[in-house]
Amino acid sequence: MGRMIVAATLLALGPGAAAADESLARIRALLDAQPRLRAEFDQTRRSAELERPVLAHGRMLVWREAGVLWQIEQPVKMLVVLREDVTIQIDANGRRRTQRTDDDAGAARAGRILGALLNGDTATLEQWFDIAARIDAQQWSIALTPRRGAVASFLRSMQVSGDKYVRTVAIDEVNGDSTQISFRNHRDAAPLTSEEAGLLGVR
Amino acid sequence: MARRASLAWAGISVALTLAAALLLGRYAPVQTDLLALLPPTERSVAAERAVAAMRDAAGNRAVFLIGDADAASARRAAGQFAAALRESGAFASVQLEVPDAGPQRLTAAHREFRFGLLTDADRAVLADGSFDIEQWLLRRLNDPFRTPLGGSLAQDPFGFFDNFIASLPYRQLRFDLDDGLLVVRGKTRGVPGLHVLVSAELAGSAYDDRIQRSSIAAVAAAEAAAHRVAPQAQVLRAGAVFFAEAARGSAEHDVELIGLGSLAGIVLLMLAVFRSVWPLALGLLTVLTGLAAAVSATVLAHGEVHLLTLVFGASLIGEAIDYSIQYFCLYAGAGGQWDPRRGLAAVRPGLSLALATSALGYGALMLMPFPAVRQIALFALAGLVAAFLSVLLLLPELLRRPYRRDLAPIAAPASRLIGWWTARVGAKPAAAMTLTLLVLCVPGWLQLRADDDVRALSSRPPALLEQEARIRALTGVELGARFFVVEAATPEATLQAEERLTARLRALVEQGELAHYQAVSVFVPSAARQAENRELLRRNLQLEGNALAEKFRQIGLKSAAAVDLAAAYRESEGRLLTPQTWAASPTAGPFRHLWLGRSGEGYASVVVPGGAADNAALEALAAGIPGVTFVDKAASVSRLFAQYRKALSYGLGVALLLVLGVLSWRYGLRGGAAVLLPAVLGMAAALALAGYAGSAVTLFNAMALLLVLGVGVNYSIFLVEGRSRAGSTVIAVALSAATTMLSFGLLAFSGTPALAGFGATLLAGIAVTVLGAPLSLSLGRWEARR
Repeated sequence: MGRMIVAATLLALGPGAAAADESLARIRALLDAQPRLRAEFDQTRRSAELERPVLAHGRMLVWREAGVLWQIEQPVKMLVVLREDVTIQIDANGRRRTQRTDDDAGAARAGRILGALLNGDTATLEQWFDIAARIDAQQWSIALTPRRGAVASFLRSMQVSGDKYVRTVAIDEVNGDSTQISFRNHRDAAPLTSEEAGLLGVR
Repeated sequence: MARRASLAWAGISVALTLAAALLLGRYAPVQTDLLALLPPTERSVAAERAVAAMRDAAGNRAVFLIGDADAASARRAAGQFAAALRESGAFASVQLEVPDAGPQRLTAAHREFRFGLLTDADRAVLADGSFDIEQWLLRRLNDPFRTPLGGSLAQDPFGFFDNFIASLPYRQLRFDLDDGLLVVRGKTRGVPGLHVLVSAELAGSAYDDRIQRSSIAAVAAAEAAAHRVAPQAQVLRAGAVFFAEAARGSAEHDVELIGLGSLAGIVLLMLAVFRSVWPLALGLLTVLTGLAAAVSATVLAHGEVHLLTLVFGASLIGEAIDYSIQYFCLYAGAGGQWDPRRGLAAVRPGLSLALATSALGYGALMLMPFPAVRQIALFALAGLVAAFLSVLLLLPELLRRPYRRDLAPIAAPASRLIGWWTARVGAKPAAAMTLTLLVLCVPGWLQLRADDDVRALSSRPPALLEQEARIRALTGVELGARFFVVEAATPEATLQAEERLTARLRALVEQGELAHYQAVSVFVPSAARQAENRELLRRNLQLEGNALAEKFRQIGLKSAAAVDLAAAYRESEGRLLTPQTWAASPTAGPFRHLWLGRSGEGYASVVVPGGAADNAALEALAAGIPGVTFVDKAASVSRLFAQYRKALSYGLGVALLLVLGVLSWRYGLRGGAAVLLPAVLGMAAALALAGYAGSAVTLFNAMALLLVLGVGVNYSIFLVEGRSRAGSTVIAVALSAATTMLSFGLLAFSGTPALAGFGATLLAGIAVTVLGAPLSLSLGRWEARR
């Protein structure tokens, strides 16, 4: 379920967030200009169970028609492939865990959200979240609050902010844990390496 | 003596009629469950029980999806729909909101047993020695895509429990909990939308017509209420009650069509031939007593009457009236010299022989192990015997005055026709005609093919089937028509057998040949597997000593969490999740029916495969695992149909010989064969016509052939018996055949494929038989016996 939240946010919250809202429409227009991009991310995880925050960084590749590659480099190597039909986790030893979306509601939801977002289906995110958006010149922020239901049972809220790119994502869990992700060094994604194309299923 | 018997029978008839009217009208024990017609198909008791349990799990519920492209409209419409259903009082309960079914509640039942619960993927990693605590924890800590269902970082630092919960087949149900409603997202009228689940429990059996009427009406009203707030809303429904109601509607329509149609036809024919109301009234009286006896006998023997029996029974009218027609023709033919006693003596041998051959036909059907067929046969037998007795005992008393009109205007041409036939068509031309007909049949026979599909028994409306398929596709709910039954001496042995099976199913899933499967052992691993899992965790997590705490600290996790984890592990020593505990927990919810519990000497459970995989592959999986059986109800029924279709074909041969024996006893071998021949030709032609028409031969066609024999041979008997008074006899036979063909011909229009096929075969068979009946006169040496 978490995977869909983050994926949704990263991918381009814009198209997903209802065009009915004018702010959302403008944010979407900003993000639509960059459908294929690469970026680096830094992630900080905080929890009462942790002695100190845990830091991670890695690279992200968004290829709107195909999916997302989320590559953690430090402190451990891990690659997550988010595609419409399948979610694949690959660890440092190359061991794969594959979940087809048709038999996994979590992954399926992620896949459906991705699909919906990529196809500009604006109603989809509102199925799970109440959305509040603010835009001021080129700076924008969005707050997503899950409605009563399965998502609300572990997720308190998400905040996303950015300009022509998504810059930060903050995830607050019900148990007090939180995750902050910030993105930098955005650039155009093309060309794909053959390995990336293979993982994303792009010919 | 005879007088007293007549009075007694009159009394019995009145009593039977009253009883039948009371039984049908007052208690309405009319059964509409089509599967109630079928005998047990499975080898083991547990398999039969499993079939019943799977049916019950879905049987007395109705499920609705209220969909709309606009989510708010869908929710509003569902609210109105559920409120209207509740208000109607037609359902025992109606569920719209789900109070609290969050993941926490889902996990509660499993949490205290978590050290014994691992997914197969995690087991594999823990078992192959590649597990690295530090790498694993770091991946988990830094995975933003994780779904923390299993609890906090401290409760489930490695995420094994998380993974286990995520692997439970709840995920196959595509429902989401949204604002307290169970919803499915998917297309509605071709556009993406939201579907809200409303489920309702029937106030009684889905096969009870009062329940059907009230719930169907309530659903229609609720649908209207939903459309008032959301005009575009789409209401999809599934449930046995809708199919049962449709089947009842179709069967009632059949009963009306066939009953009224054949009655009207008989009235017209009788009036046209006899031009007098009295024979008509008496004929209907014999039919009435026949039907009354049939209903009473059936209810007495079976406790209920099946709708299919009534549909068939409606067509019996045409056969029951045959006996009185024979009597009336003799009566009308006698004119002024009518003597009831002598008339009776003249008609009795033919009627007795006719009853005997019909009884042989229906008696053979009574030997079939199909409750439905036995019921129909009993119904027919009781009806025919009562009609026969009414003719013998009531008609002579009630028909004393001679016939005042003259039958001659139609009897004379008929008599001339038969005279011409017997004079011109000798044995040789008759044999040539027989051979020609048989040769014409050959190409038809060559095109025959068999079909044993169970769906012949029911007329399932395509619209309902489509809605059910849509619901299945949207929700991912398997309705469980095929599954594995697992039986063993103890619950533990049952689970272990399941695990051997699911290992094979998993391989199919990995090959992409199966979508998923549902099994108790997925929720509750066997005790052996739980012990193994605990041991795997103990070995890999280094729970003894300080090693784990040290690793936690290096990574940044509080070392107290490692100490707590070890303590929780030690504390849970000896704790075992059992199927009984699981089945009693609310978590078991939509999967509880998988655990059948005690079954005969042992225990049993059900494993349901989901998605496309062919039956042969699944059946092969079950092979070699003791106690595991693959059950496909539709396939077993089809197999049964095939088996009995073949058995009946042989039975037909035996019946032919028996009837030939009875006939030869009276007419000699050549005479017997001559009398039998037209019925044989009728059967041959009916089969050939089915071949030409491209319709498949089913068990029901085979049953119809048996009746072509039982009924059709009557015509030759009547013709041969009445050859001294040819005119009235020919009219009687023609009239009998006309009424029979009328009623069975109408049966051919039944909405139930099985009955329609039955009717069509009978119609064709009887038509050819009656047209061929004069051949009996040509081929036998009748004059010599005079």
